[in-house]
Amino acid sequence: MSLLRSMIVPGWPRYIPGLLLCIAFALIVMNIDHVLGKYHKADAASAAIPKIEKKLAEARAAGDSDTVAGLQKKLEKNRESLEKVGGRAGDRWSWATFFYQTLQFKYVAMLLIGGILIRNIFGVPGVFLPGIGIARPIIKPGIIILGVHYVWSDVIRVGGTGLLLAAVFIFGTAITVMWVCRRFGVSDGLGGIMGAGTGVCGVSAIIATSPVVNAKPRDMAYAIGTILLFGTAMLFIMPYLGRAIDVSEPQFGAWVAVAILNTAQLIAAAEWFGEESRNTAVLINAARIMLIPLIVIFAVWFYGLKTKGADAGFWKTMRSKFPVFILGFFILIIFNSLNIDALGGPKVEGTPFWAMNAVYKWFFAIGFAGIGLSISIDDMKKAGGSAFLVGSGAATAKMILGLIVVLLIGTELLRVTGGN
Amino acid sequence: MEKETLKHEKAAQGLSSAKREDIWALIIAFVVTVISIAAPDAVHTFFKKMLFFF
Repeated sequence: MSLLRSMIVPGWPRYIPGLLLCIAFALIVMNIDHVLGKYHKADAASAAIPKIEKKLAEARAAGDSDTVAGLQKKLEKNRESLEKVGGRAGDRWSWATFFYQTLQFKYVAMLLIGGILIRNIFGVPGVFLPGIGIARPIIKPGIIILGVHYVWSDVIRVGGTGLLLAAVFIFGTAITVMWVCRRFGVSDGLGGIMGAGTGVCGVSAIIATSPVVNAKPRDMAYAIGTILLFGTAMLFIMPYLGRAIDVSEPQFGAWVAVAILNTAQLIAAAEWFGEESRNTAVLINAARIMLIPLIVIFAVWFYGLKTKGADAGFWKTMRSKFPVFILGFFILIIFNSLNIDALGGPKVEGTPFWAMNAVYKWFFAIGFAGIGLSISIDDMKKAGGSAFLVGSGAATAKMILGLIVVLLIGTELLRVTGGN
Repeated sequence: MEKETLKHEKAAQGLSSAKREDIWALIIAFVVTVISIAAPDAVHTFFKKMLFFF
């Protein structure tokens, strides 16, 4: 009964206005994205149809029936895209292509940039703020449902590579940051949370580590401000940087999973870049966040601290800091790997997994709305002091090293096949 | 009032906010799975078509 009671957030009605605001914002933006996507597809179809018709005529003349069948299917699909906007071959909607493809102005960018503009230019009334804060974790059910996209061979290949990558980068960064902080006289509290924050998962790792390293509230504000500032900057820079460097989608997914510290932000950046990139990023991130309890234990050992109460002991720390939602993600991967006919797959029409595949994006959209609306320039100004120098140095080094490593690993080892 | 505050504090102590988020995420995902098993077409139509107004 007490467990049931503790599941209800104290003072829950105050979260409702903000949550509804995020849902409404996500709904509007998803509809704009849908319209932009529809016109972009029509624009591409309009340009493609004359070329396909020409090829079709050539294939018919050559008597190549396989090519004819393939081209006819393609032609039908393109005509369908045109019909959706009531257009004809030759009509152009280049504005849609400019926004959707050239600028990559998809729902992720609209929610993040739009949210930041609303929050910092028009302001968000205080009544909405608590709910906006809890909208971000709504990404978690989306991550679990995304499990239908993977099979075990993906987990072993991509997740195994990712786990190794994450472990090296997490402990490498955490150890370096903690050591540098100690060497330059930064307090143990601030050094500990900056090490965990820049190494693992940003804000959640800072919160998880702060009680064990006795961090002061001011230290936490500095560390969280620095992590937020870098996470936000990288979230916007990396997708464009990735396109400029011309990394593949799976490589980009692995890169953001290493470089960006916050789960929601890295998934936003990867989703922005492309579907394949998101699939790789989510899997590597799942491997990474499982390491959070270990980094807390490492911080305890590094600073020689003795913890009390619920956080005491290796297994108790593992249990209290382990992100249990990730188990749901792995359970769905197991079911998808078993190829159960009754569950189908994300691409098998009329099956449960196909239906679930239509849902996850909405959880992401509400979460991204929460991220955008909660990014306050004033909060970021709190980044400062030695935490800023150490954090920014570590984050930049991790981004550059991460890029080198994923380029060396190549695409195939990081590609999620998904089965079905 | 004081009793109510105490109750809230105890409840908050029971599960950390991260743990609570995780368990709610599992519950929501489970509900989505059950509804998707019961009515896959309805779920797909709702999230892929009905929520898009234009």
